[in-house]
Amino acid sequence: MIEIFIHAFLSLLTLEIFAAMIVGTLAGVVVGAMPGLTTTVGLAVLIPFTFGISPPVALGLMAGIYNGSTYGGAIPAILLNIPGTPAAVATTFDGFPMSQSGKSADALKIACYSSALGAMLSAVALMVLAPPLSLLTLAFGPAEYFWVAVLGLVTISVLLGADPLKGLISAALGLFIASVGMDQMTGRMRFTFGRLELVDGINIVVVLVGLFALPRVFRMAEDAINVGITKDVLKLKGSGSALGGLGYLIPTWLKSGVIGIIIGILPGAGGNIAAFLAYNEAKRVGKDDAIEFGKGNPKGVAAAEAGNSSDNGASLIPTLTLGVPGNSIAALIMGGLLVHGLQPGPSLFRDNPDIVYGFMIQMLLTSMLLFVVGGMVATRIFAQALRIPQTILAPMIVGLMVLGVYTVNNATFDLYLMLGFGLLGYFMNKRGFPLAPLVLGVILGGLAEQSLKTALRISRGDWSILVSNSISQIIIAIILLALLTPVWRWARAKFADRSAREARYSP
Amino acid sequence: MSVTAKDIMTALMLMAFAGFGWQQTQGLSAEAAMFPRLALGTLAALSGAYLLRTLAYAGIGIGARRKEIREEGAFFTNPYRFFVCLGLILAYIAIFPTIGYFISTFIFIPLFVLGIGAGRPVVAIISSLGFVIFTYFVFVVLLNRHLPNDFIIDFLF
Repeated sequence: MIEIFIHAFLSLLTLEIFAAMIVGTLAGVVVGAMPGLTTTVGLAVLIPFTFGISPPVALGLMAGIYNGSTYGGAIPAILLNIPGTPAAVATTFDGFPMSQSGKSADALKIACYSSALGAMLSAVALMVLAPPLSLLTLAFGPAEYFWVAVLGLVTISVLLGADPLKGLISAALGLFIASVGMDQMTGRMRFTFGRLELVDGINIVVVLVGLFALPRVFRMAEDAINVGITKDVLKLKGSGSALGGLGYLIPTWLKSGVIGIIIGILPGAGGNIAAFLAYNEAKRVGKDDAIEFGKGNPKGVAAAEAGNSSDNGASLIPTLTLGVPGNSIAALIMGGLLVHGLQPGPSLFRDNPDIVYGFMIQMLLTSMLLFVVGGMVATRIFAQALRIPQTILAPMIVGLMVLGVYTVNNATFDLYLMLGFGLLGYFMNKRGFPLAPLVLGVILGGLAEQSLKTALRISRGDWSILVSNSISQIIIAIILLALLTPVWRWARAKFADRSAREARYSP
Repeated sequence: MSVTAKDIMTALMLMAFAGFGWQQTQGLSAEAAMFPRLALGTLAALSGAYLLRTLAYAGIGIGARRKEIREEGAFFTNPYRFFVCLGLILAYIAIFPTIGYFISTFIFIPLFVLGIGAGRPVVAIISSLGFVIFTYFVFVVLLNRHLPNDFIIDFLF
């Protein structure tokens, strides 16, 4: 395995790939620093532009954006008490109080180093765990792949959002959208309504950009926040202490890193959960610290940032090996892989080792780049991005979206489709339906259908092939466990509620 | 409109969509129709469960519990700005293949800013010019993307 990593690393030694990683990391920090944007929007807008670029360059850009935006979200969290990304919410608890007491530069420095180290730990976990896990999947047949697709859809629908029923509805919609176009097995046209542009189905790029980026634009237009942040707010002040003084944070980093890695591997959990759990653990251990948590304790910033960053690489473990994304960002990266004809799973490791092992190394290298780009000068520059009013940012995002989607097929029809998905995404957001399960349904729908039909052909129409293998039975058991999780949570909440009422009214 | 009413409408729309989709599969062979019907059947069943849950929360139907009918704010935060934004994007998509990406984008950005009633015209025009120059350099010069011809760009270069 070491030889494969060395070979993959050598294949990354081109100026183009390194430039892509640097540009991706810088772009990621800027995207993360802007409260109006999220990592998902940044990736959704970027992915169309990776058409025509070689996969290692495209993946370098994506790795950079993923790691960069995780740190970028800390900048407004610390300076303005506004998390730039959902994963940076926990960073505000101690980051903003540090900024208020005149230590914004120190807080940003701690956030930068914590993000970088958390992401590095996560990338190492990815490199160590993903390859052996991919070997396990060699035993999978079509029936098992069908159930893996169902597992991915169920876990992200049920565990990711607040309402599992809406998540499952979203996933079913996605599966339907995936069936638009020519059926691969029979050659029959499905739901094309005579449009030639739909013969090959709906391009995943159109779905990604429309669903994730356009609703954000509509919201920016409705809010019409006309002014960016003023210069005075962005003055960075610090104690001037040397970086070497951060050694006391090492235990916090390590513990938060492990928490983030475990959360990242679990499908459906995201960086914000990892950040909260890491923060709570640091608070529990540090209750006797001189500075109280929530009042500007540097360990609070370190735990939150290391926790949310160490989710990054780990969330790609189930994504690359099983095709089951760890969170919605991983689902987008999966979409990015598919755009380049790279299907996650064991075939990815077997047929494209340089690309997939190279991607894992790129996750490590871009996390190390944070030490460089997250320095004081760079942070001052990124903080300036906060001065762009959202009313100007919104049409620029539309310009990038139109450019990106049009250049996929040079077809205006794709732009109207994108607008349609944008409206769908807007209404889904308003009604509380999560978007990630729909995207995953579109991504996994083809795999699920093909696997199901192949399994039924092998068994000559006997559906028991889907439950006869022990691996299938194990995956089905995990699916049932995931479906029962909301029921268990509901029962636990009911029990806690009843106990509280009994305690209140007991003599 | 209450949350309950919106949820009922949403559930009914989803079920109607599933029904429409199912009807479209009538002309397909059994093998071609299998997977879409699985997805649509699942959608219909889940939407039905969503409807029943909504009715139960509203105190209607078997096993229902009386719950407060929650009122929600208006669907649109600002309907005027939403529809102006939608209209401008639609117009932008419609005209850009004809007059070119860079000219249409240069016009679109300030129109968008002014259309939603925010921002100063001069700032919007300068930002638009900067954005167009940036995208030309990055996507046409560096990345060699092919876009509908801009007669001004063709004239200048």
